[in-house]
Amino acid sequence: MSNVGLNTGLSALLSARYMLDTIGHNIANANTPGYSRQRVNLASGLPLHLGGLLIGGGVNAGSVQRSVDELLGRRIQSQRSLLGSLGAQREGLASLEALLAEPGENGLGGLLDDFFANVSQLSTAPSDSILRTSLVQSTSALTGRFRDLSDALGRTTSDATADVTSRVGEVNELASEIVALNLKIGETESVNLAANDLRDARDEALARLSELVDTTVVDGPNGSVRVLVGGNTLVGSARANSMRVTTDAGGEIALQMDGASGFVPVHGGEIGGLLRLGGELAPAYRTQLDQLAHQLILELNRVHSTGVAGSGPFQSLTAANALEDFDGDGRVSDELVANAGLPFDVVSGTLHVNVVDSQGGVEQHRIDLDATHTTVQDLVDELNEIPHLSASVDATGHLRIGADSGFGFDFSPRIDADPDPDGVFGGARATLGTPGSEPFTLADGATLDFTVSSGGTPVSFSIAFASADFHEISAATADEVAAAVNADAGAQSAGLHAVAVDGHVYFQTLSEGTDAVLSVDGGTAVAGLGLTGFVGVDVAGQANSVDVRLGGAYTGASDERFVFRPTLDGTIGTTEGLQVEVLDRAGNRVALLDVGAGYAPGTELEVSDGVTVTFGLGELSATDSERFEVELVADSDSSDVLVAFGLNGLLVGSDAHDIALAPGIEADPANLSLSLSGEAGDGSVLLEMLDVDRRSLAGLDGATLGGFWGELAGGVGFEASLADSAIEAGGAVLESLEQRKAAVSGVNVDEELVDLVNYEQSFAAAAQYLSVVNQVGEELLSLL
Amino acid sequence: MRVSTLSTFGRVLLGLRANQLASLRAQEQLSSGRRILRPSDDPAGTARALVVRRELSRTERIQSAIATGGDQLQMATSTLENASELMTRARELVVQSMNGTLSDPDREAIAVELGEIREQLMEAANMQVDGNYLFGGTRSDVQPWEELQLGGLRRVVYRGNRDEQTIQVGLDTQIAISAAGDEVFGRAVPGPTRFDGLTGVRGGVTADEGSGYAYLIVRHDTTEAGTLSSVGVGLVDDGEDDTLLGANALSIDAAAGTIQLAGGPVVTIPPAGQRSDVVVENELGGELHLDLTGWNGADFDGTVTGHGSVSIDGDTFTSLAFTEGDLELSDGALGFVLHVDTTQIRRAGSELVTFGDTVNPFDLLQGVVEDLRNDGGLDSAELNDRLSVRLDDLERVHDDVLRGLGALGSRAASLVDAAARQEDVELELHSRLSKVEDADLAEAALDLARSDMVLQVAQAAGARVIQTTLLDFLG
Repeated sequence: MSNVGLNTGLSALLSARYMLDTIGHNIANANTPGYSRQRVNLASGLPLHLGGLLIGGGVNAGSVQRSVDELLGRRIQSQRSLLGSLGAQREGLASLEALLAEPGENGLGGLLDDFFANVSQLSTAPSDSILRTSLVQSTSALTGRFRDLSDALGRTTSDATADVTSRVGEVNELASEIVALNLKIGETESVNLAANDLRDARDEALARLSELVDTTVVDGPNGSVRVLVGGNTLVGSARANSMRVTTDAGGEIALQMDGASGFVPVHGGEIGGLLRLGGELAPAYRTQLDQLAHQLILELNRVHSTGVAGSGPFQSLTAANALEDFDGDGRVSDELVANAGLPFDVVSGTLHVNVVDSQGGVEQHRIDLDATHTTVQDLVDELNEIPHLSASVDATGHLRIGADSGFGFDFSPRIDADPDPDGVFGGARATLGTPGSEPFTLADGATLDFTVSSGGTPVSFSIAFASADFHEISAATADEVAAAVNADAGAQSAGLHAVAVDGHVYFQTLSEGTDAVLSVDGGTAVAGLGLTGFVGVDVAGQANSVDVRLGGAYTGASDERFVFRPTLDGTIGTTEGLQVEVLDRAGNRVALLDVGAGYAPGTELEVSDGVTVTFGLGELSATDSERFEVELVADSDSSDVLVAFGLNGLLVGSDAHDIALAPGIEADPANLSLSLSGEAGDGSVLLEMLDVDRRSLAGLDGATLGGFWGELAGGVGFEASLADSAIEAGGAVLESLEQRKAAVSGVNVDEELVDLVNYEQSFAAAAQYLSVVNQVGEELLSLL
Repeated sequence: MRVSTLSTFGRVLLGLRANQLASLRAQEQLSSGRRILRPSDDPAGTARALVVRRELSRTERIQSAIATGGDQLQMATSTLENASELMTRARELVVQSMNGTLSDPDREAIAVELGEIREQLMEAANMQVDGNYLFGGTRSDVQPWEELQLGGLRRVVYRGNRDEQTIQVGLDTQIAISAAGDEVFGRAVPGPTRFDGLTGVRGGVTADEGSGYAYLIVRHDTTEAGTLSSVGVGLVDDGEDDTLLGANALSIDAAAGTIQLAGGPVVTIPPAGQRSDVVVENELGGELHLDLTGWNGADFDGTVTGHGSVSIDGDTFTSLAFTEGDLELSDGALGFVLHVDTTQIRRAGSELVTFGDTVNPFDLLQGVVEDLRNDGGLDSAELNDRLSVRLDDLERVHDDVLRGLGALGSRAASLVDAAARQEDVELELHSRLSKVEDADLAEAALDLARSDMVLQVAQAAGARVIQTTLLDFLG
């Protein structure tokens, strides 16, 4: 009898004490993160059969149980993954935003403004050295900012990589921790003990892990959990696999796991966020920045490379961009110019090169480039063919162009002020031209007989044409015929000269004046050249040579060639009805100029498209087929080859990483090429640069420079503000989940205090009962 | 639903944090005056704001260029105004000098003053601002008007060009801020060659090439007396002082006692003893000196011919046959080619040849100064004729300066208009930018007050919540 009572009393006491201990544990851990409140499960003890009665056997403390909702826990983990990812991105984006410094005066946009403001100011006084220096400085500041931003975006990626690496370390530590806990929980629960605190610890580790990566948690045997990341097992029942950081085939950061092949895709958690920041966002912004820099270089260099430097025509130029040997044969000269590793595209078009002599006389040349055929060697050869110019590719793959001493060159679209240096048009030399134009039908060995006199005894000689000097002698070009004549020794000693103009051949005496006389006496080539009507006719020079001056600036949209020829034979300013006809390349008449009676020699006449001409006093002859031609250039580099090679550019480089001011200009602002005519007050290039600021650029998908930058900065802001709203919404969801979890697992101190009072009283009551039982037992004993 | 102690405290904390953040945001806006402090505050607004900022910068730079260009135009305008005043004074002086009663010292004084005016005009035409010449077109680094000694003459030539230096004053508009010197100081208008009629030379058939003035020197070489000796009349000093040229009819009327040479004035034969040097002139003033001491008193009707030659450069003289209709004379140093008709030349002298309307004011004034110093020995009527030719040219160059002033004035007015337009654009852009970027201060102040109030309420409520505990009531 007394045993039952003692046992019951003891069980009550013990249970109360276990409850109190657990309450104490709860109160102690009220603020412990991840702690789930525990309760002792009480069950009444087995009844005993005493004297025909079933008397209850007290209370048994069954187990200590924690209150937890596993499902809620999983949801919280995935929400924390999401917020971890957003948080990491938002942090990185905040730094980028600060870097952009927009909207404001000190961002890249403000530096663009400074640059164009300096361009505009310089246009009021293009030769002012202070303003030039100012422009050079603002250009340096602008290019420096591009490079800084590019570097910062690069650092964002490398910093993100470093952060991922350290977090991967943490992931591996947590994984080991979870495995250890798995084992301990397994051991503990195998002897039927509830491993409550161990499970709490494991849940905390899982929560921290899910903040780092997006995990899938699966229950395993023996109370263990398995954790999967991107479908690969990070934590197994008994062991953990470690993750490590590598790079993939594209050089981008990637994650690998032991025991798994291929790369682990991580999209959530801080690591996922960092991967997106460093692998997607920052590179994308960098690509956009590169695009902006590339277009800026292209457009500004296009305008600058065809300008004339303040320091005059160039003695030598070296390309800023190197050629690449694509086919790997050790040479770059056989590469197509359009496919030789140059950072800007070369298209089919024309390059105009002017060679300037020490007196300022200009010779214009053109080089045609075909994107599908022209090789580097072709270009070098064509440049070398230009008199007084030489070109080569040096050992590092850079093109060099140089001029002979006493000469200079540039690429500006100027009008040749003196288009008729040989005086074919009304010149003082005796000139006879072919009435028809090329091709001329000649035969091998055909002859042309001349008599030339320069005031002394006439010299007669004969020129023979050989097939070797012609591409196809039955279709001889004017250039070939002229070259053959000029190479003839007899012609040279007699003072006969030939020149090709507009497809016609002109035979001239080198001496001038009325004493210079030439005549065609005969020969088998006469018919082929159309000179039959001129046989035996003396052609004399004249005392006055018509001084032709062209001026103005060509305003046409495309390249053109004008040919000027007289309509009659007559004297400028004197002969009634004398006119000069101007034809374009297609043969259409663009102007008919009155130069007869009533025209005062030296008066400037408008031809067309901004071109003006003045004629001096002299005689013109339509019968002798006199004419002169002039090339008019709209875009002197329509192939963009100068930009591609980086010749005479304002900027060098090809993207935001290497954009810089051309070193030659930085060293001496006088090297800025600001004019098209070479005059000190001509700032045409500056005005064209201002236009770049407001044009929609095809390379920027139709945006302007400022618009594109605005989109870039706005894009960063958009990404950041998206993250902000997502964080706010996700944070609210997490909060509500946490509250529900707290409702299930949280400790309410007031509750515990109530229970404390309850079980204190229970204990007191149980102690009282025990004392009574003891007393009863003693009283029983005293009876004996 | 249960509430855990931790989550209670946590919620109070969250509430405080959120309200503090809202307060901070409102305060940021107020202290910076801006609504967008970073792109994420309003991404679309940021993109728009950046575009507006670029446009704003564009108007600012245009206004700046207009101001600088305007200064340059102003400088040019006041220089031209000065030049115009100088030319007005020059015209007065030339008119004054045409007064026949002036003495030689008076003329000299006028010549000196005109010389000074010419110097000042040269200075004006070569005016520089900050090392850039104003009137050279785009060739602003070279002195536009340069004085040279060419072919024995002092000439001023234009070394600038005709191109315009332009600045951008609108998105698509440009205005020139330079002036071509040869448009303003003597705009050369080539035209027919003019002669002042002194010697009877006329223009030939073929057109001429030249600019400004040239002096055609027609020189008397010898006089052919013809049959004069038949009446006992001879030449004086072999005709050395004669200036007649060509075939001139000479008639001596013994009854009236007069001599007449061609169409010139009738001269009374002086009494005997004063007949050693009788001067008769033809209609152009070509002189014939006759020695009538041996005159036999008979009538005479014959021809006296003056032979001579002509030169344009003073070095090469071409003998005159008086039959050339299109004689070509050229001056290599100056590049002139002149064609003349010599058939009507009747007198030697220095003929003023004007090539169209191409003379510049400097050569013009130089010419007047030389006329006034009268080394050519013209009489006062001939001098006046010459001066009136110069006066016409002077009026023309003055008109050019006035026209230039007008053009500069209208350009300056365009600049003012453009500046006003850009100011309007700038105002509008500032307003647009402000709408996007700037905080509505009233709204932000309200926001701050509101969030402060909410914060205080949250703090008060939170304080109550966190302090309520059962412990206060347990024994």
